[in-house]
Amino acid sequence: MSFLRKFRKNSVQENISATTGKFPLSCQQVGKDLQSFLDGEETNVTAEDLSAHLEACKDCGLEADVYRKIKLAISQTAEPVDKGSLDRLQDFGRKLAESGDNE
Amino acid sequence: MSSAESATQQELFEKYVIPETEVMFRVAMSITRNKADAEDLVQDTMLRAYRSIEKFDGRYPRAWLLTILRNAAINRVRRKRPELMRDPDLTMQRVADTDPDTADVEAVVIDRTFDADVEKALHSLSDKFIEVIEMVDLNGLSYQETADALGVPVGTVMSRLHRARAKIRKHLASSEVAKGRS
Ligand SMILES: [Zn+2]
Repeated sequence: MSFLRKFRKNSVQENISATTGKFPLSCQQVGKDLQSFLDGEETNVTAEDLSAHLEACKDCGLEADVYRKIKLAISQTAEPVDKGSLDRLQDFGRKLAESGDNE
Repeated sequence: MSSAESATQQELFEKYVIPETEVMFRVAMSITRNKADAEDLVQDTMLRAYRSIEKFDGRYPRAWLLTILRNAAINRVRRKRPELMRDPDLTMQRVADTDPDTADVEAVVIDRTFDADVEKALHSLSDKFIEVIEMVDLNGLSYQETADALGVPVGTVMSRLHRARAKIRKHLASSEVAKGRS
């Protein structure tokens, strides 16, 4: 009976630590998923657990900051798309859709 | 072809293809590195998409179009201008063309900002790494869309992308150390 009580208690605690505990997941688990998480892609563990870990763990939090900054810096090097090209292509597409493929 | 049929074809095209014009052009620019060729490639893609739109099931139009675009790009290269397709040698040439001295001076002028360091680190990577970073961070594609555009498995996209960023991070860390010493 005491074994069963202990068993139940343990499993409840595991549940708590996996969802609301201070350090859900290991740093290694976070490291594996970090970039996918920052890219908004599917991860092996839940986004809630990842966010909670990044809040609570200084090392992983800093690592996430660096990757966010790298991503941002790269996205800022994007040149605006050439307006003339875009207009021409949309025009081409609309005419193609209207008149069909007359090749 | 009956008019009802062609109206449907037109509707489908306007619904699925036209809104993706900018993404197609961005990806085409990444592949061809040249505005005129990128425009040709997108037109080619649109023609192919138009011809097969009635067979398209309506799911993931962007992924569908990027697959068509990649096939069109491969075809073009086979057909005429192999020198325009990205390859490691070409990329090395491009990197060499940007005068490192000028780049250094500019970096100093803007006080060696983080962004400049990142850009420099990015261009020190090999072509296959730059490619995935461009697709995801510049062109805004998902991992799956990048996989379709490049014709590689999603797992390959992930490992290249994550390794590329880790390399940039390492690069930044070592340039921080260098700056600390000077
Ligand atoms: Zn951690």
